[in-house]
Amino acid sequence: MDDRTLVESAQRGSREAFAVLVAGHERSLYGTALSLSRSSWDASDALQDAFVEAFVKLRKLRDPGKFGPWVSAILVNKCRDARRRNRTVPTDDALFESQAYEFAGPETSLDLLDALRDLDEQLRVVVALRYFRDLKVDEIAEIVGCPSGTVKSRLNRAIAALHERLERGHPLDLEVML
Amino acid sequence: MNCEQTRERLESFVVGEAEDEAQAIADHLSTCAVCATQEASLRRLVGELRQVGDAFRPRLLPAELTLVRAAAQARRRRRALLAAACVVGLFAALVVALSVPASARRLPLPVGRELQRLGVRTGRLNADLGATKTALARARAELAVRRQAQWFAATPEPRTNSGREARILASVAAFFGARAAAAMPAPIGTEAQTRLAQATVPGSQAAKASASLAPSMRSAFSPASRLSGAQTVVVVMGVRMLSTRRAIVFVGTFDYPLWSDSSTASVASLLARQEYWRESVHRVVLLRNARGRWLVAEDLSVGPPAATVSLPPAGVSAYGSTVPAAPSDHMAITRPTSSPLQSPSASGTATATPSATPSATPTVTPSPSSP
Repeated sequence: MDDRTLVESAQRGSREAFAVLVAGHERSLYGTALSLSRSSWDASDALQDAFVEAFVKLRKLRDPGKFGPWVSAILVNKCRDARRRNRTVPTDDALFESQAYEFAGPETSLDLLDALRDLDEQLRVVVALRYFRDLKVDEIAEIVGCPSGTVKSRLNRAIAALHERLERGHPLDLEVML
Repeated sequence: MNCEQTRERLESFVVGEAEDEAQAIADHLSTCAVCATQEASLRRLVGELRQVGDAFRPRLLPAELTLVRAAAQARRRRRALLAAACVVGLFAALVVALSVPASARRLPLPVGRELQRLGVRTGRLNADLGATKTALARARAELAVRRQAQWFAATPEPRTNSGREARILASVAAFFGARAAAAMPAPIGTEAQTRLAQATVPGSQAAKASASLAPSMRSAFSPASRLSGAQTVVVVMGVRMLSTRRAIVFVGTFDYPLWSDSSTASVASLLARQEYWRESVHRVVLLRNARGRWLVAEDLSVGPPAATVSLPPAGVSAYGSTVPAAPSDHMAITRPTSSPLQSPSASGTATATPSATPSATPTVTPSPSSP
């Protein structure tokens, strides 16, 4: 069942349909949130807030086929809000094994994730939306509020930076992040 | 299409969006080795990035989700069992009423007695099993909390927003206060705690310590609670922010038999030696609600750990350097002691920042009776 059908069902009041939507988008949204947040806890909080807001405002979504970009925009805003509110909060995930999400990918992805985390926020957000969420350049431009050309140039800068970091070798510091 | 034009469009081409120009780009790549290499490299990177995006697997949170879901499942199971039992009971009663003559029902039935005896025995065994399971779960929880507490004590604590920290500590105090008529010393990091800490450094005279206690500490013990004959003193060891709306607090508690002015110094002494480990350790998880209030979401109380505290021998300060070596199988509840309690002026406030100095730690060792 595609997103459009599920969203239409959810708009008619089907909670099960919304649960399926959540399950389908949860992973990539969490990856996006993690790349924009300081810790996995912040990311899971932002994700939860985003899903709650999506559930509440789902009837206002005019084009059910645009659920992906729409919920991504909500998530990006939640991550920004969290960062704005908590500039001084230190985070520490190393201690607590039980976190909301676990990393189940290949080990090589950890280097990449770490390199991504070193990028500027402007670059991180376009990379996450482009490759984690599979959004088009125009959709990303709408979310981040800049022209499509700027998104493209940021993508190119991000890719060049990622290449450079991966070639240089990046010290693994993922215990803090994951 | 030249190299520059190709590279500008390479990302769209790799992602599969440059449909109009795809053929032209492909043609160029087939003739230009440099661009082809770039394209291969980019394709690999994009593939890996997409893998990363799908690499996170949700798992349940320990407290909120697991407990809530387990409780809901248990409720559903209980209801289903109750309904099934009712149906079976009604059916059995109907069968007995219809099939057994009244005279036969009045006769003594050895089988019935045996069944009754077996039922009692089964009940006892089930009760034993339940108690064992509960004890096991409790022991596991205790071990987990003590490991975390040990880490908590051994890791330098970052300073958090003081306003938020104060609100969290106030919530913890209210939580324990409402539940156990507890009194809480001023939170770590405040001026009052600094003064309390100054009062508890080694070498202080008891009277001096008593006199130096913060007013807030004194007021925590109201005359009414003084009459109750027992106090639970709650010592907040520190707050750790997990995220913007999630915090974890480690709390030690100890019961004090009777509060009076003369025992102020004794409490101060207990705090100085951190003997509250002996009584109980709590790990309290707080969540911030939409209104910004911090609420206790989980209180994992460990209770008396059935352990003895190895204090430094008489004459040696708890903050000194001589500490008996802990046995290898000790429970390793260590609290680095050269804390800012000794030098509160260094950071402006007495924070819960323990140093990593391994010496002079009260060690908690299991008593012989402990399992």
